[in-house]
Formats: sequence, structure tokens, C-alpha cells
Amino acid sequence: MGQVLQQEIFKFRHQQLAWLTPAILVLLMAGLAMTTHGAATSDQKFYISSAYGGFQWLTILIIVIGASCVTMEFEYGTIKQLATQVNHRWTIFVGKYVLVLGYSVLLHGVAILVTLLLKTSVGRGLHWQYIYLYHQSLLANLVTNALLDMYGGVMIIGLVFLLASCSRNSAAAIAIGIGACFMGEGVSSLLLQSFKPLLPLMKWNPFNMFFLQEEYANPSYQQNVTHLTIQQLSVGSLVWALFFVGVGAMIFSRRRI
Amino acid sequence: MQRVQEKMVRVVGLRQTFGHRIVLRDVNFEFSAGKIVGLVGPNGAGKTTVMKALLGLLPTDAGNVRILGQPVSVNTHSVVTQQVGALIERPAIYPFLSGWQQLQLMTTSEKQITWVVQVLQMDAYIHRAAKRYSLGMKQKLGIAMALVNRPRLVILDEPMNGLDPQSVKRLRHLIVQMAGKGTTFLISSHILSELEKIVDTVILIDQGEVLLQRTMTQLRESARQSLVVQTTENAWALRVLLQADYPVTQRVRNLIVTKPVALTPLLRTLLDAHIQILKINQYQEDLETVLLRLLTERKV
Ligand SMILES: Nc1ncnc2c1ncn2[C@@H]1O[C@H](COP(=O)(O)OP(=O)(O)OP(=O)(O)O)[C@@H](O)[C@H]1O
Ligand SMILES: [Mg+2]
Repeated sequence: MGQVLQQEIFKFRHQQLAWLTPAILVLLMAGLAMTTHGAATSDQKFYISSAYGGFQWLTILIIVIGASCVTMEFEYGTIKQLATQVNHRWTIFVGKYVLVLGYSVLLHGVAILVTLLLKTSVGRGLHWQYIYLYHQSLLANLVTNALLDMYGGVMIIGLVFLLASCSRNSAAAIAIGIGACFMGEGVSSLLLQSFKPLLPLMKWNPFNMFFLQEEYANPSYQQNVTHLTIQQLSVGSLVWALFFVGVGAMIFSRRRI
Repeated sequence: MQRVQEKMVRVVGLRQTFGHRIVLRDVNFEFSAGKIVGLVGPNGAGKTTVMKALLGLLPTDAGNVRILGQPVSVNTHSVVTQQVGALIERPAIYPFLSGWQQLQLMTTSEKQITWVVQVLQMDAYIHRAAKRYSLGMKQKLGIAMALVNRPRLVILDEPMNGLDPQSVKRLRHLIVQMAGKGTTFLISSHILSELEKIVDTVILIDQGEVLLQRTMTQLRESARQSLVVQTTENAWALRVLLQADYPVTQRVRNLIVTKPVALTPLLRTLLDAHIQILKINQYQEDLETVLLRLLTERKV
């Protein structure tokens, strides 16, 4: 496993995408930061605690990277080579998953750092000790959001990996992944409202887990939207992640090469 | 440990279906270490499938594959990881890596990378990104990846694809040289004239069945020889030779003696009849003709 991960890191850091992604992220965040210049203080606080939209951009970028990192092996035919180097093909899949998770952590770090920098130039008026949501300082809010986003990413990346293991090019996996990410919450609400009698079962659908971050910010979601406690959401999220990765690994290993 | 003459590869009763299509039916063959084995057969015969099964890339329906006595399957193939290098169909290359980096993924030994780059003459472009390689350059890189670990068994699927004549020659020498040092090769190719120059053994496969496995010596023995004679008076010569009980036919301006015969008595017969000989050629079937003949004979 260690060797698989090492190889994946070697390949990854020689891809332009690995270095381009943080640059793109910084540009997108800076872009949004510019527009907040004259915004109201409450808006500014919101932008800062969500890393100037960085977490959302980052999710999209991670979906693209995750999907292509799996499908490229089939596209280039390199899976033949990889498969002979390990006894169990799923180790490659899991290795890649760990790599992308690690990269997600790294990017969240970048997003926080860049927010700190941007704030010194754009949001100068605001103080880091300012109390924002959860009775916590602005800085604590930023870090909490980063952690929650990272945690949610574990499931999203799992889903994208599952999709990618079924498709030969990454486009489909990327499209569905991004779609699920941004419309999943709506789909879940719709499901819960449409099938009221099935609620005890339906509330465990994977899209419902996307609400983790919102529910943390807004505890009333438990009653009105998700019908799950924050603990249930986090456990559910993890279980779904394991499920996606497990099924994905199985498909990945059985795929004909 | 008891050292018996170890079989490098041993395949018993291999069967493979893709959906309803039977691709391999009861494939059996084996060969020992240090040999160069040619795997030949028409398109779709199952050569690539056999090679994939040898590498543990395919879940097979039935049968037993062993390399160096160790079993090979999708989930157990440590022997493949440690002792086998392969190029299957097209080379497996990441376009964003340079050839050198690609080889670094295969081994940590810089010495071996330098060696393989040098013997395949890839120095000029090895540090360029592989996406800018030509077809032949990629092919060479694929071969380099199969050889760089100095494995005991090398499996090459159509290795000559896209190589220029010089590179083909160089590769041939390299293969023979490595085989001399104990490396075993299993090579599939449609260029039988090239294969013929290096292989010790030929395995002929068609429609998922091994039709024959022969050593080159055996094949040469079964190759038909004939003598092509051209004279000033072919019609007269034909009659003379037929009278002397030679198996002769006339084809255009040549007389063809279809069995191997002693040359001196035949020449004497013609000279005694005062026939002038213009040209005389000995002709032996090449591997291609022998195999094609065996294929058709088998089908009848
Ligand atoms: N992925 C696949 N799905 C279905 N059938 C396949 C698949 N791969 C190969 N086959 C079938 O298996 C048979 C053997 O294919 P294989 O690639 O082993 O042939 P080959 O001897 O290598 O041919 P060639 O000389 O053209 O390379 C063919 O009839 C082909 O149609
Ligand atoms: Mg083939």
C-alpha cells in the first residue's frame, strides 16, 4: 500500500493539474474578494468564513481531479501495468482515494491561508476576534467551515470515485459528481417531502448528508429539513463514503482490462 | 532444494469466454527457461488473451497457469510482480511523464534505467514528455518498461509495431543476447520473417486453440525444399528428368523439382542429355509458408 501511494504521489506531482489547481483556486477566491470590497460587514463576515467561496470552488476542482485520476488509467491503458504490480487491484483504488483526500486537506489549508492574506487587503475593517456564528470568532468559523467541508468531501470524493470506476472517460463522472454536489440537497428535500411515509428510511439517503454543514450553522435544520441529528449526519456521511469506496473498489477490480 | 529442470511457464486447460463468445478453449503449452518462444496465429486467435492470462490480468473460466511453478491468477500473482516484464498491445504510458520518469515508476535502480535507455538508443528523447513521442518512440518506451527490471520472463505483444528496420534489428540482437543470459521471452508477432530469425519454439494458435507447438528445428525439417532449374530447352529437359523419375513440374520458364534430391546426379542427367543449364536455385519454405500450410492442412 505504501508503495502504491508513493507511486500515485509521484504521478500526481508531475501532472500540471496538481500545480495549476491551487493557482486557479487563488484566482477565483481573489476574484470574489474584489467584489466584496464595499459590501456590508455581515456579508463580509460571511465571505470570509466561507473562504471567499474557496470551499465551493475547491469541491469542484477536487471532483475533476478525483474523476480523472481514476479514469486516466483506463484511458492510457496503464491499468495493465499497475495491475501486475499489486496482488489486489483495489489497493490502487484505495491508494488513489487516500491521495485525493490528502490533496483535499492540502487545498483547504491553501484556502485558509489565502483567506488570511486576502483579508489583510480586502476585509481590513474586520477583526479576527469578531464573534460570528456558533458564538465563535471569525477565524474559528473559517477553520470550522474548512473542517466541515473537508469532512463532507470524504463522501463526495467517494461518490465521484464510484462513478469514475464505472466510466471510461472522466466527463460523465465529473458532470454527475458536480450535479449531485450542487443539486443533491434539493433532491433530498424533494424526496423527503414527496415520500412522507417513507421518511424513517428516506432520511438516510446520501444526499441528505450534504446538509451537514448547513445544519451545523443552523440547528433548526434538524426539525425542518434533515430529520437527523448532527451526529447522525456525520456518521451517515462516513458510512456512505465507505459504501461508495467499497463498491467503487469492487467495480474497479472487476473491470475488464 | 531439489533442482529439477524448471518449467518457466506451464498452462493447462485454460478456458476463457467473453459473454457467449468462447475465446480460449482448452489451451495447453509449456516451455522452459532461456527459450525464445513465438506465439503466432491470425487476428483474433487469442494471443493477447493468453498473454493477459499469463499476467493474471483476466479472471479465467477454467485452467491453471503457473510461472516458475507458482500459480498465477487475478488475485495471486506475486511471481508476475517480481519476475515478469510485459508489453501488452499498446504501451501503457502516461503522456504527462517523461520516458525517464515512466521508467522510474518501474524501478528505483538508476543504473538499470540508464542501461535500458542506452541499449534501445532512447537517449535523445528520454527526458521529453511522452505525449510528444512518435509511435515508434512510444513502442520503444513500452519495450524498455518490460525490460528495465531485468525480469526472468519477458512477454512482448507485437513488439516490432512501428519500429524502423534498424531498431527491429537492434531489438532482435538484444533479445537473443538476453536469452543467452537466461531470460525467457514469449513474443507474439505477425511479422513471421522477423520472428523466424530469433525464436527457438513456435506456438501456433487459432480460434482459441493451440494447433501446434514445435521447435524451430522441427519446423525446418518439415519445411519443403525444392529446386528451381532453368535451361535453354525446358521442354526437353522436363522429359529427360521425368524419364529419370524426378518429381518435376514446369512453371512458366522454370522447372521445379519438388522433393529434396541429390544435386550431382540430377545435373549429370541434364548434362548427359546436352542441355545447357542457365540457372539453378535451391528454395526452402519459410516459416510463414510452413505455418500457413500447416494451418490449411489442419483444417482439411
Ligand atoms: N474485451 C473483450 N470483449 C469481448 N471480446 C473480446 C475482448 N477482448 C478480446 N475479445 C475477443 O477475443 C478474441 C481473441 O482476442 P485477442 O485480442 O486475444 O486476439 P489476438 O490473437 O491478440 O489478435 P491480434 O492478432 O489481432 O492482436 C477475439 O475474437 C476478440 O473478439
Ligand atoms: Mg493481440
